[in-house]
Amino acid sequence: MTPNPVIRLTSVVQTLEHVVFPAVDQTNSLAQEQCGLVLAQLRMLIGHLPWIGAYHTLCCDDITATATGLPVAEGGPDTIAAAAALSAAVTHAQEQGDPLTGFHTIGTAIDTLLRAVANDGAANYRRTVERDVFQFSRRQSLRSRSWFRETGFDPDAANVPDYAEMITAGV
Amino acid sequence: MSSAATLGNLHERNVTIDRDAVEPRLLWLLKDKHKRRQAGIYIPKTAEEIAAGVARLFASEGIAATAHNVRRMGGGASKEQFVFDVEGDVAPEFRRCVLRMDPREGIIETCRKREVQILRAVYGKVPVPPVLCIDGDGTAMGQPAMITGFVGGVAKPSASGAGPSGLGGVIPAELAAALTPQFIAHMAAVHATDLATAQLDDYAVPRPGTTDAALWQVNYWTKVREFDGTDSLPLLTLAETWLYDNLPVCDEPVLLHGDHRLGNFLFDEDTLQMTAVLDWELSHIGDFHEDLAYSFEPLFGQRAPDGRLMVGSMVSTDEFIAQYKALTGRVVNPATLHWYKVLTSYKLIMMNHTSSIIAARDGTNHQNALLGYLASVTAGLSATLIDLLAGEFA
Repeated sequence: MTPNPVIRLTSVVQTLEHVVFPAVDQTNSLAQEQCGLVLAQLRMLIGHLPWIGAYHTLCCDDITATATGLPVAEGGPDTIAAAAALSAAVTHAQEQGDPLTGFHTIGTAIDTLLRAVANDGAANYRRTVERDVFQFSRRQSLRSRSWFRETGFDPDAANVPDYAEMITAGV
Repeated sequence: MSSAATLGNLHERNVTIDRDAVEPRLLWLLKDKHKRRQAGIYIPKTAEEIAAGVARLFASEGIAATAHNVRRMGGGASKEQFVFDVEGDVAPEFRRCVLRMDPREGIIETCRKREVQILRAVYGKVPVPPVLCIDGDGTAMGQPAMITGFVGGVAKPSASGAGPSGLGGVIPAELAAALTPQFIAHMAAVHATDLATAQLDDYAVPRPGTTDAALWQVNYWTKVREFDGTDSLPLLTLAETWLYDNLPVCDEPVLLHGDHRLGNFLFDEDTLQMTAVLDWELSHIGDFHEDLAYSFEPLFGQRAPDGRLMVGSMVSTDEFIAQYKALTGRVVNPATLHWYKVLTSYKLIMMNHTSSIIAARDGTNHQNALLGYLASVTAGLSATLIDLLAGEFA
């Protein structure tokens, strides 16, 4: 299991930064810009690498809990079918055991349910689904912002927590 | 604006939404992109290839001139751009030109024919580069492209930093005082374009007094997700259903820039005059609130110490609205503005969360590393969308 993937990737970054990129044509603006982006992306990945599994598990656990916490579906045929498909997606994701794939399997089923309740969901059921999915989305948004805080694109980065702390705290 | 609790579902309200109502030219472009995708990885063209393509284009257009000193321009996240010198029988404003060319795929799919049409429509009303010629279907260049005269200026103060596509730029107070009135006046001038005489042949006009303008936008960006969707994002779907539930009526469709923000105009650092409004590819005809809402997107601004959003880091939204009203007489409807802010978040996330990821994944852009990096913008944009929708679903 050695060398550690972080060490391997760090050595790549050092080589790119100090050997390869200085040799790139200084007048080639496209190449120069891409060099900067490659370094930024790789550095971010080095930070992410030790936490990727835990991060995906945390996200998948939350979306699973959101889906399984919804009440019994009420409404027309689209809503009933979408709710059943969501239940099946949760089962499938749990059997698969891959949190990243599972997250999107359940997420896609939630996307379908949201459209279905807008079409023929009972008012109370629709309100509950949208409220719960919105609350999940708020938590997921904060996790994503934390994960990508160092890109510099966040509108309020100063108030976004460190992802290692978030993951350790399980939020 | 209403939530599910007050509206009821579409079935109960007996509402049918025409989800296929999209500008025909834009739908054609989306479908055509999928054909181009089959061509595989895109290798950025060299200066020599560009010079040869320009020679073919000039010949086909009857322009007796040649391109020299072709070099790629930096910046931007959408189109490939090259600058070159022109020798031959051209007007002085075309002695140096810019080629703006589609990549095989990109963060957005837009139309050079439309961009040329709008540049010609607003020429003389706002500062824009003059159009020399167009390769609308990519016959000469291999990809659709247009050539305009080069306009000098900077997109950000020389001494300042900014991220990709001009994001994160900051304008000092003295410069902001000079640029803000121009920034707003140019938006107002675009909105004042006479649609009857503008010759915007590839644009569709929403019916006044209907929800067409809003519906076409939601439909288009939702179709982008249908075509290019990769990862789930329930927040986007919440926004989608809310947008459909609350479509505002547009009484007076106007010509919109569609991407009116810091980073998309040039100015002269000595005279402090804006020399060109750029990047018209998202232009369309719609509700004036849409351009305002887009300019007010926090991603394109900065927070003042007191927490107020400063549009383009230059002016508060209240002051912006006041100046716009003084110029146009139009009164901003807060509910409509809010709807278009949600739409802005919706479409910006769509660009970064769908088409950008697909192009980066498939290697079909000239800046795949940039698109892969920009996909993370979705995280910050989601915070804005959460804030906008909090009152609807909390």
